[in-house]
Amino acid sequence: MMSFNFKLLGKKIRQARENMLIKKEEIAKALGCSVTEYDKIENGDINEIDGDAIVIISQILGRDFRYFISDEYSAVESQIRELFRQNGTLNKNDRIAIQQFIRLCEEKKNLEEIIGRRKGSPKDYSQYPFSTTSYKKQGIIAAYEERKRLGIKDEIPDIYNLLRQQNIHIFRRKLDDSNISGVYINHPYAGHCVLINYCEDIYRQNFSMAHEYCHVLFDSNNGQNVSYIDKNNSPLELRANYFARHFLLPNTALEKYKFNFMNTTIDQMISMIVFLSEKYKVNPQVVIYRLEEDNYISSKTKETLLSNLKIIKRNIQKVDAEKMELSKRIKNKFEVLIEKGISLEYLELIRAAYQGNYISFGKAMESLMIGFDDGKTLFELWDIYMEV
Amino acid sequence: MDAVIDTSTFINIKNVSCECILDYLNYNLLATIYVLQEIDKAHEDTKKFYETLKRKNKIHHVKLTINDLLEMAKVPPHKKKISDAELSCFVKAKSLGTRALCDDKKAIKYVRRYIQLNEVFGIIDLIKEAYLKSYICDEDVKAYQKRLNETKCRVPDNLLEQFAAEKLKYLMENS
Repeated sequence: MMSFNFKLLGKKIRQARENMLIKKEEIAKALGCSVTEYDKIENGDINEIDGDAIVIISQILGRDFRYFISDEYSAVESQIRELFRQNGTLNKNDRIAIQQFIRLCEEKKNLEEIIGRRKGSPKDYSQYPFSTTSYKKQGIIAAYEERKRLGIKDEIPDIYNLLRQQNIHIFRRKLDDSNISGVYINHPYAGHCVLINYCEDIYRQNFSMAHEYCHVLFDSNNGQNVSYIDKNNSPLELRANYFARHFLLPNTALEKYKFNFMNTTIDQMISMIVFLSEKYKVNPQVVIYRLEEDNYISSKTKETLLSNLKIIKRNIQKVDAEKMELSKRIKNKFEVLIEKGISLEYLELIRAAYQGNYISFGKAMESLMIGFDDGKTLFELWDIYMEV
Repeated sequence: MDAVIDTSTFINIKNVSCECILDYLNYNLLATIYVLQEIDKAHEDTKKFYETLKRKNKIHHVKLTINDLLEMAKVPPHKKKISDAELSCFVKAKSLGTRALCDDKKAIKYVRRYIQLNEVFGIIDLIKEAYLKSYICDEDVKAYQKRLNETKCRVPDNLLEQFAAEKLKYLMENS
């Protein structure tokens, strides 16, 4: 055997395992050995190990085996460590989900490089000459600047599609902690990566996406950030919230319909809020706060409307923009993948890479994280043949 | 003959129901952990097919070594156009000095840039070998071809004619 650094292998495994909150017992069980024997691997007290064991350990820890057998540390590894350290309450499942999300972003970047797909980059607002030091106002100014820069005239039909054109890797996935709205990572190789917590509320996800976009624009130097619904008090989170409100529901939207909220009944107000909520794909709370902000309603009316939220929400038909693009024929099959965290854009990227003869069938399945038979079924839906 | 099999050939053999060829040609299949994991994630009929071959002692798990992983890592991850299952199959076949069985031409073409490959066979080669050695007849070839087409595998239309021409040549050379 070539000379191999077993001490470094063990150290990397231990660090990754501790970061992921995975117990030694779990890995030892998967390897079919005792914890004492497994300890020897982490301590580097071995002079041989079979490759299968490294593959199994890598898979449990959500890493590429190449990281463990190389002599180097990766920059992203220390970034993940820092992210988990800053957010110590993240549980094991969410850490695994975030790790898988990072792998997906890296894979997506690889595929884009392989097929030569280039996209524009988002603007960096961290150096923008704002005339105000107010984070709230900075968020609002940037929202309108971005709407103008991206040529957004009115409502945003599909925020994910719009922002993916900005070279941001966006994936949605359900996290255990429902208080997390999104995760942003400025990956040293993949670039801007955003994970949106895939909850049942589609419009909340839209807002989270706009919120995370603000972090992309302003806070990429921080490297990484987890946004929580119940921890909105920091200036950066406040800025991101105001950005999201104005980016999704601009002043022009409220002016356009010339609603006279001063002389209407609560029922009429509710139907107007339902209309705006559906058109601009935001939750009614966002509409109510925006109406108050632009002085269409008093703070007393705002409170009355907020107390009627349940009724308002019952009347809103929420549609997932990403799923609207799917034809009936393939909807069920793709829906499963989307809910597993695969985006439609990513699916199309893999199809393009395979059909353009850039990647093998096996690689397509590996990138989609699905089994071979399921992959064949998927390719049959696309009417793609495998050349044998 | 030992041969390290990739999932693509494994699934195609199952789909076409031509496992008898493995017996005729006396193949002993070897599968890496990656391929076994893909089989484990596959549909029930694929898993059952694996169990049947295993019971008949026709397929075995072959372990990867660290050297195999180091060889696999020669393909830069950001340029990797094939799966780790395919890659492990090629690398293991190389380290054992045996034949690799893979049905993805793109994968075979790509990996040659990084790894000195031994012989790589696909399902078409297996069918041809069995035909040339007269283990199977014209009707078998036609049936296999039809099933391959039905499972969205692109096969040359004149497969039987190609094989027949080669068989004639083979018989003349060996007569």
